[in-house]
Amino acid sequence: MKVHITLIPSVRSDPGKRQDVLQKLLSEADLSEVNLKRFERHGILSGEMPKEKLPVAEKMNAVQSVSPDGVKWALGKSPTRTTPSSPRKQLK
Amino acid sequence: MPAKLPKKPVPKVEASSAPSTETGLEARRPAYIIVFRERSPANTKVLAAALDVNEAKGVAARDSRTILQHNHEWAVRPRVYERMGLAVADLDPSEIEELQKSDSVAAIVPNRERRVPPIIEHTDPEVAYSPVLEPGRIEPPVSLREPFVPPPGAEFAFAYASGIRDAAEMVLRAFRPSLPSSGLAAIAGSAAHSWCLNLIGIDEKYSRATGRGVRVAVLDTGIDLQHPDFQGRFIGGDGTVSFVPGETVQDGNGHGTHCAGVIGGAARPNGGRRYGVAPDAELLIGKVLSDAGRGHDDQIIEGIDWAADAGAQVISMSLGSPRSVEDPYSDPYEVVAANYLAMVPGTLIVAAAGNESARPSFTSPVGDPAACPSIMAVAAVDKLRRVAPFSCREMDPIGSLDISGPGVAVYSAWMAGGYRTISGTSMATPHVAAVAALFLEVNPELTAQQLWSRLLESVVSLGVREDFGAGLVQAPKAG
Repeated sequence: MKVHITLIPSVRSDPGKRQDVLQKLLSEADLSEVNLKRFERHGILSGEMPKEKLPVAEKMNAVQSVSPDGVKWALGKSPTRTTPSSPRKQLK
Repeated sequence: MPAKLPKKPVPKVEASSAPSTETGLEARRPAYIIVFRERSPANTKVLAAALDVNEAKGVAARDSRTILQHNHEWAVRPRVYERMGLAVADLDPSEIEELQKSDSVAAIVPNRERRVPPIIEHTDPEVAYSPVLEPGRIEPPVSLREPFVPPPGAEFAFAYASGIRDAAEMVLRAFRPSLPSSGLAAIAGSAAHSWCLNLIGIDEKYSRATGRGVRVAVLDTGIDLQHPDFQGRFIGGDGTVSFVPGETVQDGNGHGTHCAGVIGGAARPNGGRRYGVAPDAELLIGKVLSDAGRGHDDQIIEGIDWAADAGAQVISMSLGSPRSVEDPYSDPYEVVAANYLAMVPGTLIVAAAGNESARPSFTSPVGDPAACPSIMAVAAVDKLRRVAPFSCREMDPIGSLDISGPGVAVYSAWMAGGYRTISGTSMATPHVAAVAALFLEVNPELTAQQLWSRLLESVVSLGVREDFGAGLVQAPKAG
């Protein structure tokens, strides 16, 4: 699953510590397909991680939080709430 | 700004990652309780159809309880309690709307502590979720609590009563023009001017500010690139970018065009009536929501970074997702927003508070990412300066409301070169973003943090901050 890992402030601002935690996440939490775009600027790592490894990552001292990539919606009342056009399933 | 919250737990997204006392059921509390009008086996079908899922056979089912398949990967399994006429589920806004259309559904209420009715507390411990009282705090008697299920037709009655009051005020004023203002007189628009502009104090007699020289980014469903009111308005080069895979920046929804129109619709629009608050602002359009009106955090955060790099001084985000009371805000959004807010000159991010309330039946807390302390959360008001029935409320110390803007029956641009009048905190948000652009034109030296303060200092107070934040956004009077 895609996750966004936010590092604690003291690690965000330290390039050496950032690299350490990156290596640790790669080796111990099986983080892959890592997006480093926000790593230096914000201390946020994005990538793929197996669900069962989420607690491993979260327990790391350098990690502030692990957030699954969520969905946001346009917040107009109507008619912007377009729903998928697929027909509604019926219970068997 | 509030202190950072303690480390938050990883949200549980699937049964396998969530320990439970029963096989296949998550321990996490669902966000909503659905109250059906009748105790009927048909309730399961109603919920299943609205959520587009089937029954989850064999998953901790009982005679009195039916478990449905996950309606989202982030959601717990919906549960229907036939004997009580209730169900619990995590719902997105479209599912709430779908359920509200059903004649079988009496109400949808947030699943909050201390608001669970006694009958549930004592009948089925799975739904009760132990409303733990603070030490020494006395729970009010049931009769003094807020009503759990509103009387049928309450919303209609509320609107009807408001209409009668407005009509009475008009009649009184016809006979007694000197009648003191009640403070609730409707703000009128005109053939040439949207009422929203009047409400927020756009008056060419007092201010010539039009947002000239200020860059505002709209992160939404894109824009109608051919709309006559936006011709020549986009920043050249990479001023319009899509972060949605497989979709161009051309708006196939309308929402993004509407929001961009509120900010930068032309001073002399093709349709005649002006609706753009900052018609000379430079627009950056980042498509982060698909034509279906949804987008992933990854795309949105990418859009924020792009906009800031492109020189956006204000970012308008009319998007979000519901949040339960006491749930933490999203760390990635907060870190990014805090960084840009702290920079000099920095970038101010404004976001919609959410539309999950259905007053007077119930209110919902400010959603994500508006709940982040470094993002300005915007509530919606109508032309009588009343809080919009759908506008989310400040219900915990985490998701505070900051400011209000016009968000009911807002006229702006739409797809195919057209115009449409729609509602939402989505519509209130670009009003605030655009007024921020006016302040920056008047005083280009403002940092993002100073701009935040200036906006809140300039409001017209409307009432309780839980509904309106500091008050109604107002355009600068000088310039």
